[in-house]
Amino acid sequence: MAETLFYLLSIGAIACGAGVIRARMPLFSVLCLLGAFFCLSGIYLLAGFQFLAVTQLLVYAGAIMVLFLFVIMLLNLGDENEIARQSGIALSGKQLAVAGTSAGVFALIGVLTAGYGIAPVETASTRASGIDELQTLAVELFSRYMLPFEAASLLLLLTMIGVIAIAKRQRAGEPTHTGAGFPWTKEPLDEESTL
Amino acid sequence: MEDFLVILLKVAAIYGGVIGTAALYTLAERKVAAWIQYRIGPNRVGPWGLLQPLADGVKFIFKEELVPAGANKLLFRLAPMMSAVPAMLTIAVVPFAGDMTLFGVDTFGAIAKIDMSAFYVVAIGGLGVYGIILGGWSSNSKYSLMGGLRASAQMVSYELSLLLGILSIVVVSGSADLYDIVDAQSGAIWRWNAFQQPLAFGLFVIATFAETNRHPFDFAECEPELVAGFHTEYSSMKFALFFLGEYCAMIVMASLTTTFFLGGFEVPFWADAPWVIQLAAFGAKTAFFLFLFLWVRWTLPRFRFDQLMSLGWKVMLPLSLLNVFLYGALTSFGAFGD
Amino acid sequence: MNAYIEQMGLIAPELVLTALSLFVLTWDLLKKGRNSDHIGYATLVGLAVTGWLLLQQWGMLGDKGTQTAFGMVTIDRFGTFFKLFTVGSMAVVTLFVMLDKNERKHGIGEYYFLLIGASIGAFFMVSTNNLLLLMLGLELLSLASYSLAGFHKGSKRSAEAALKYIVFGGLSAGVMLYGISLLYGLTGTLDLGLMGHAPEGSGAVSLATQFDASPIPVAIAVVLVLAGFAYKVSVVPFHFWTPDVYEGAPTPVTTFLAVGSKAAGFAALLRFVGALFLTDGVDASIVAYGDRIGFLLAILAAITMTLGNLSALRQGSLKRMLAYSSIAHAGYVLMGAASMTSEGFAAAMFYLAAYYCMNLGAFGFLIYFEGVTGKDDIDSLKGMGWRHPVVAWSMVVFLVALTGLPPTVGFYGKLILFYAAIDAGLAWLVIIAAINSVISLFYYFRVAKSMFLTEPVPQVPMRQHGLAGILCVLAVVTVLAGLGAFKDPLRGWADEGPASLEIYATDAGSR
Repeated sequence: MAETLFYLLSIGAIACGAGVIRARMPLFSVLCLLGAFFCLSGIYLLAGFQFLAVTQLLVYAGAIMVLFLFVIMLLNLGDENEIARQSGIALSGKQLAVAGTSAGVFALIGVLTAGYGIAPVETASTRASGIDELQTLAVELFSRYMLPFEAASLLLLLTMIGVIAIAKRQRAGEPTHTGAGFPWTKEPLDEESTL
Repeated sequence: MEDFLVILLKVAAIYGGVIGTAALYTLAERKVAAWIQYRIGPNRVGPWGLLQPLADGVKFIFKEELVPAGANKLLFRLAPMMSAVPAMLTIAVVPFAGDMTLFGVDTFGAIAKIDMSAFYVVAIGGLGVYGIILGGWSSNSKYSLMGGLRASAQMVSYELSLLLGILSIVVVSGSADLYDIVDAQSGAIWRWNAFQQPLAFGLFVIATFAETNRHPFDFAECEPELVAGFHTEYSSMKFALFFLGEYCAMIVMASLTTTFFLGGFEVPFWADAPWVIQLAAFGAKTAFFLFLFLWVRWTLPRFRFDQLMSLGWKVMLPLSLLNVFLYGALTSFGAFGD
Repeated sequence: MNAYIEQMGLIAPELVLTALSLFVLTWDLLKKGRNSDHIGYATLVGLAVTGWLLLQQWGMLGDKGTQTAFGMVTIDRFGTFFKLFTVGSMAVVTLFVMLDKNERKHGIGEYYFLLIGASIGAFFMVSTNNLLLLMLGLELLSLASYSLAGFHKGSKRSAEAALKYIVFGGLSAGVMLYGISLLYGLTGTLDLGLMGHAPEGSGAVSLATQFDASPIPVAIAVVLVLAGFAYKVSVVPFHFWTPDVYEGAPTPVTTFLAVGSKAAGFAALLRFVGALFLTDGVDASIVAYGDRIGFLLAILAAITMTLGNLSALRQGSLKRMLAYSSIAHAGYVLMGAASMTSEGFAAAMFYLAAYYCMNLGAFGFLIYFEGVTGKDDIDSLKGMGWRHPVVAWSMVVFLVALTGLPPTVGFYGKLILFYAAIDAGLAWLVIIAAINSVISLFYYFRVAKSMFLTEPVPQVPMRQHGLAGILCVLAVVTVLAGLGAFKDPLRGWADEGPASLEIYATDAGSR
C-alpha cells in the first residue's frame, strides 16, 4: 500500500514538475507547482515526517504560491511570448538547455568512469525514528544544527535586503544607470526601464 | 466492522451538522442583521422563517448557470470547489467532544486525531484562498480580478498572525495535537488560553476575521467598489458553493478559536462531563464566536485596504512575534511547567 | 558553557563580519541615505579587525592543529588561507566601490551590506566539512551576488545580468543539492570526513563501502556535486552565464565575482575532492575512483582554458575579455585539482593567491578606465599609456602576470602548477596549457598595444588618484610576490593548506 502510494505520488510529482515547464501560461505553471508540492508533502507523510509535510503545505502552498499567483495576476501575464516581449530581455533558453544537458551528460560521464553494475543500494539508516517529534526537532535544530539555522536566518535577511535594494524606487535626483551603465551617456529613459 | 460503522456515523454526523449549521447560519445572518437594524427579517417560509435556507437552495438550483465569455472554463468550474473543500477538510480534526463510547465502541469526538492537527488546520485552511483567487482570475472581469488580488494579499498577511498565535499556544501546551491543547486548558476557567494569553487571543480573533474575508476586512467582495468581488460572475450552484465555503470557513474558524482559546469542549467546573454536555458546551462557545462575526459585520465600518495592510504588517505581526517571544521565554523559565 | 565560548572564539571572524553587516545596514537606515562613504570606511575597519583575527587564528592553528567549532566549522590553515585572501580582496573591492566614478555616493549602504554578506558566505564555504553548511554558505554568496549583479536598476544590461545569473545559479544549486541529497542518502551523513572514512559506531557508511556495492549512484552523486562547483567557478560546459553577468554587473561587483567568489568556489571544490578521495584514512577502494575523477577534471581543465582563451581573442570589450580570461584561468587552477596530489592542491592555492593580486589589479584598471572614458571597449584605450602612465604601466604588469611571464607571481604560479601536473602524469595537459598561455599573449598584449602604440584619441582628462594608488600597490605586490624573498613564504603558506587537510603526500612515481 505504502509503496504503491509512494510510486503514485512520485509519478505525480514528476508529472507536475514537467507541467511547470511545459505550461504556456504562467498561471498553470504555478498550479502545477502546487500539485508537485502536494505530492511531495504526501511523500513526506509516507516517510513519517508529519511536521515536514504540514510545513511544506503551510509555507509553500499556503503562502509562497499565493504570492506567485498574486504577482502573475497583478502583472496580468498572458503566455510566455508576451512576457519575453514585455520584459525586453531574451533569456536564451538555448544556453540554459545546453547547461542543463551538460549537467546530464556530465553525470553520464561520471557513470562511465565509475564502471558498470547496479547493485541494490543499502542506504544508511537515517535517524528517522523520533526526529518528527516536535520537541526532538526543536532540540536538534537549536543544538546540533544551530549554526546552519543561524546561517539560514542571515541568508533570508540578505535575500530580503537584496530584493528590496533592487526593487525600491529610486529617489529623485539620483543618477540612473542607463545604456552602458554610465550617467553621462544620457539615453532617454524609456518607460520599461523605469519600472 | 462496528468500528467502521462508528467512524462512518461520526463522519456523517459531523459533516451533516456543520453543513446544517452553515445553512442555518445564513438565516442567522439575516435575522441578526434585521435585529440590529430594527427589522423583522425573513419570516415567511416555515416557522420563524426556519425553512428559508432550504428555499434559497432550491432557488439556486433552478437559476441559470453562466460562464462569462473569455473565462477560463476549467478554472472557473474548479474554483468554487477549491474554496469549499479546504474548509471541509479542516473540520476533520476539530475536537467536538472528548472520549466517548458509541454502540460499545470506544472513540473520540472528532473524525481524526493527528499529531500535527494544530498546524494541519492552518495549512489546509489556508488553501481556501486558491478558490477565491482563481475564481477571481478565471472570470475574466476586472472586478473579480481585483477581488482575487485583494484576497490573496490579505490572507497571506493575516495567516502569519494566525500561525504565530497558534505557535505560542503550541509552545505553552507542549504539543501540536488539538486534544492535548484542550487538555492543557482543563481544570479551571483561568487556565483557558484566552486568559493565559490575552494578546494572542485578541490577535487571533482579528486574524480570523481577515482570514474568512469578513467585515471589517471583506475586501474581496467589497460591494461599493467591486460589485461583488471575486464572485461577481458566478451564479446558481457555483455561487452557492462559494457561499457554503465561506460559511463553513467561518464555522471552522469559530470552532478553532474555541479550541485554542476557550478550552474547547471543556465544561467549566465539571471535569468529566458526559460527551453530550461537552458537545453542547463546545456548541455554545462556538456560537458565541459565530455571533461575534455577525455582530461585527452589522456594526463596524469597513477599513481601507492600505489600512488593512499596515495593520497586518506593522501592528499585528510585530505584536504576534513579541507574543511568541514572550511566551517562549516564560515557558523556558518554567512559568507553565506542570 | 566554557566550551561554548571557546567555540564562539573559533568563529570570531565570521561573527565580526556578521556584526559588521548588521551595523552597516542599521547605520545606513539611520543615516537615511546620506553620503555612503562613511559606511565604506566602517566596512574597511571591520574587515581590518577580521583580518587581524584571522592572522591570530593562523598562528594559533600552528600550535594546536585543526579545530572544529559546533561540529561543523573546520578551522584549519587551508580555510584560513582563503579567508585571509577573501578579506583582502573584499577590502580592495570596498575601496573600488568607494572610488568608482560610476557609482552614486548616496544611499548605497545595501551595496556594502551585500558585499559583506557575500564574504560571510565565502567564509562558511571555505571552512566547512559539512555539506549543509557548505550549501548555505554557497547560497549566501550566490544570493548576494545575484542582487549585486542587478544593483544598477536603470541599466538593462545589469537587470539582464541579474536575471541570467539567478536562473543559471538556481539550476546549478538544484543540481548540486540533488547530488548532496544522494550523498546523504548513501552515507547517512553530511560530514565529508565521515563520508571518506566512517569509523565503527558513527552511524554512517563510508562512500567507499557504497562504491563497492554499487558504483553508479555514488558516481552520479559525486559528479552532480562537482557540476555544481563547476558552475560556481565557471568551468566550460557550465560557463554560459559568465560573460554576460560579468559585463552587466557593476564593475566592482564583477571584480568580486571574478576573484572572491571564484576562489571560494575553488576552495570548496578542493576540500570536497580532497576529503572524499585523498585524505589520510580514506578507504582504499575509493582512491582509484578518485584518479578517474581527476582525469575528468583534467579534461574539463583542458577544454575550459582552450575555449576561454579562444573566445577572449575575439572580444572588443575589455570587460568581456577579462570575463573570458577568468574562464581560462579557472582552467589553469583546475589543473591543480586534477593532479590529485598535495602538490597539485598547494599549486592551485598558490595560483589562486596570485590570481587575487593580478585580477584585482586588472579589474581595478577597468574601473579607472571606465571612470575616464565611460566606455569599456579596447579601442577606446588608445593613448591611455601617455595620458595616465602610472596606471597604464600597472596594467602592463597585471597583463604580464596574467599571461604568466616572469618576473611576476603569475609566472611562478603557473610554473608550480605545471610541475605538479607533470608529476601527476598529466604532461599532455601541461602542453595544452602552455599553448594556451601563448594564445593568451595575443589578447593581453592587444590591450598594451592599444594603450601605448596607437594615436591618442581626445579624452576628458580625469585623474583618479586614489584608484591609481591602489593599482600601483597591487602592481608592486604582483611583481614582488613573484620574487624569491616574497614568493617563498607565500609558497610555504600555500603548502600548509593541503597539509592541514591531511591530504596524504603521494609518491608521484607510483601513479
